[in-house]
Amino acid sequence: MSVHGCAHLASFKSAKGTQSYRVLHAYFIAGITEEARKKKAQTCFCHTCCRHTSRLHACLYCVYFGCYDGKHIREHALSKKHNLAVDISYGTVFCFSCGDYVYDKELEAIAKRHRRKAAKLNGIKEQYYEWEPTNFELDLLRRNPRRKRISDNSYIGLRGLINLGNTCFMNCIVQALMHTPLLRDYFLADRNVCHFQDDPSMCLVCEMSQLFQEFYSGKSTPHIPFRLLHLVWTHARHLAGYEQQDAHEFFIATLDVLHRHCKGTNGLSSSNPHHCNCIVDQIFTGGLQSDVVCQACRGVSTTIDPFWDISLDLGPSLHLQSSTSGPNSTESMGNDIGLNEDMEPTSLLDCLERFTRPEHLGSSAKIKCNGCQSYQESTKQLTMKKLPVVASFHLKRFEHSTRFHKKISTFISFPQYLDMTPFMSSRRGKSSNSSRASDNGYTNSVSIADNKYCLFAVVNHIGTIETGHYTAYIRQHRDQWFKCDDHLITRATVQDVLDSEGYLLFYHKQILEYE
Amino acid sequence: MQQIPLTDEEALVLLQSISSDELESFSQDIYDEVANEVSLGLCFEVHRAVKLGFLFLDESKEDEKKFEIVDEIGRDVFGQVPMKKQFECICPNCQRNLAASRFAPHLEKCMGMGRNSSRLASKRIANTGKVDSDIDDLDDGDWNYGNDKKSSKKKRDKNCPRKIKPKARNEERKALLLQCCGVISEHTKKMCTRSRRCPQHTDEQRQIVRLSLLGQQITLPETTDDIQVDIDTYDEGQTQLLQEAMYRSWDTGSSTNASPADSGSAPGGSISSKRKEKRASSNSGRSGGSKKSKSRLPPGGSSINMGNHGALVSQPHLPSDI
Repeated sequence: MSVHGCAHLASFKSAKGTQSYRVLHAYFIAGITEEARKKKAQTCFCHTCCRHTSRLHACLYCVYFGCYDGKHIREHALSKKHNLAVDISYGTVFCFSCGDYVYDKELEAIAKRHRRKAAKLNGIKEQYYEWEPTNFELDLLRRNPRRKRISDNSYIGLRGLINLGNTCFMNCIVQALMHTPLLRDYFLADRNVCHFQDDPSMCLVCEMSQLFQEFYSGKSTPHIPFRLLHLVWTHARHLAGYEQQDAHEFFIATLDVLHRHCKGTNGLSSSNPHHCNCIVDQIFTGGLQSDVVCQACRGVSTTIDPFWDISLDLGPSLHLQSSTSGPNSTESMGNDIGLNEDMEPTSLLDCLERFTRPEHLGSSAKIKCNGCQSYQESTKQLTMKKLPVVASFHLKRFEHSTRFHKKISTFISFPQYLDMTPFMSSRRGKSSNSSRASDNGYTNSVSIADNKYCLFAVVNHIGTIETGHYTAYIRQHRDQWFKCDDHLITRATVQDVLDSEGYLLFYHKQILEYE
Repeated sequence: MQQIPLTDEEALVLLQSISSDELESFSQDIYDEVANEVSLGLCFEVHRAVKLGFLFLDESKEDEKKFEIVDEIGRDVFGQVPMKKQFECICPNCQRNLAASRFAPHLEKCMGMGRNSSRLASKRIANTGKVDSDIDDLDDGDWNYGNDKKSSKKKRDKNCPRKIKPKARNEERKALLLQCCGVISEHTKKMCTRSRRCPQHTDEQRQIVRLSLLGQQITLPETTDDIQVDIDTYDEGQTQLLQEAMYRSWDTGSSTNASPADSGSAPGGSISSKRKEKRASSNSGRSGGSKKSKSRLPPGGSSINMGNHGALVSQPHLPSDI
């Protein structure tokens, strides 16, 4: 019942090995080199009737091509007692003794290698193969025949969460995480192995896995996340306490605990976030590049720091806007575009623009330049070196500075689709004009697609700085949106989402690459 | 027909000489060939899946209609009408059954984190979970790059143990026992803070306690000399000190290093301001309230309960508690 071919093929292999298959496949089926392809084009036709379109097969024992439809390969097999032949189009082996095509693991591996080589010739980097169950999985699946088909109109994957007493901030973050496609796939595909070194019932990653099971169980009653709350309070003591809390803080704390638990409680690796490859890092960790340019010698000092989210200022810009159109004004972002850099931002793009704008660190903040070995004024610029798969944005609506003690409720528009290309480190130094214009400076169209993101979750805050309530919008089934208000899940339109105030915005990369 | 490879020029010449009918039939041939090959590929896929046994693996016998999203106004996506149903859960700490919407405040007390949490719980934590809580606090410092104020405040709390000299302790004990009943309750293991004439306990019991604690016979002064504790003028700060003193004298074996939970309950008003500051220093908003707006506690501070339990019940919570 598996990929073991048949007895006849087995005895052929033990007698003659896989050489003939290999050669046939390399030249006439896959065409792994230019020369091979030419040979394939020139010689692939039936030796008896000269046709090439009639399901051609190649004999494994000798040099003979015969068509299946015209029964020529059959005649050859019977007369010469050569019972094995290969289909030229796909490389499948036909056994005349069995009277059927047979599938052999060893030969399939050879075929796969050849196909990869041939694909490389055509510029295809990696091929996609559908998942196939192993023997063990097959057995498991057969013994458990119940399946849940998640159609477009199914509520499986949606679930309400009970408010345990001021825990709506937790509920919203849980909803956002449950609907992070890559995270969901990781846990539902059972790819998690627990590395927690203590009592396994205290592992937050395992609890997360359990949460996914709850969300996809098909139950319609809301879930009570009391175990989760207990775990978070145990592992992130600073968050513990029955009081209203900030969803953004909770999000970062949760990622931190998950990150720690993914690698077990190994003190060494936790101090070196660059070298971790846990699922949290794979999905959420990006690299933020900080460039400090010395004004005297133009020497650049670059550092790259990991980040899990980007916190964006909303108030009016605190820097004196020297929006001159002089020769050295890569800083002044094109007045001709009409960007109100002196005013408050009104869109996510405005915020990101401001975030990645080079800023002049005033004369009171001179730093020592390694290039010219003196204290000089400098400009600093933040750009994205590496984008995470999930980009989270935090709009800083709560000001606790000396001036403000209020919530900034101004409407900040955010798009459904976001292109992060203008904010990448590779675009640093180029004036905003070219980054706004559509085609200048784009060398490879593939690289544009790499930076495109799609909104999938929004967390909103209703209320004041002292007290309030959190709700979330999440995207399911590619383009359906739902509003999550603790235990109440209702349908929402994409316009509802885009019109909402927005506090935490979650974007998912549209195209994922193989590594 | 023999396949002879043509150069590009020869091919072009050949193509130019073909009539449109022939062109039509040639393109049809090519299309047929491609279509046949693709169909063959699909057949192989299905054949292989059958042979290896996983073709219909994803077929479900379950009724899909059961899980359809409902789109009616007044109902959620599961078709339910939103009701205030009481959900229950079990506390992982104390294994008690309680209402889900009150779980967070319960857990706070149960884990010994609230200001008014039971002394027992915080003692429990101090004795068993101290090591863990220390490590956790250190870890939190790691990622708290923006919030140094917060963590340093916490550290300050931890490092304020109340050290009492043994001699002074004895004096304190005596003074206390002069004023209060002092009988240790069987099930809560706490001292009675009522007056020396409290009806719940006998003089005999009081005598026994004094004997065991102070190691000598004390004759209780006559009732007329009792120092009456006037409940209504008794203020909160004193009660706190009283409680602390009593616990110290009762629990002679425990260390004087206050656990984070203990020291957090410094007298009266300073906690609230500390907490408020803690919140103010971080750049975030506070929310998470449920829709109910009743407070659990009776308003005002005058209803001090001088009963057996040590925890104060009269301190109002911070206004943000909704």
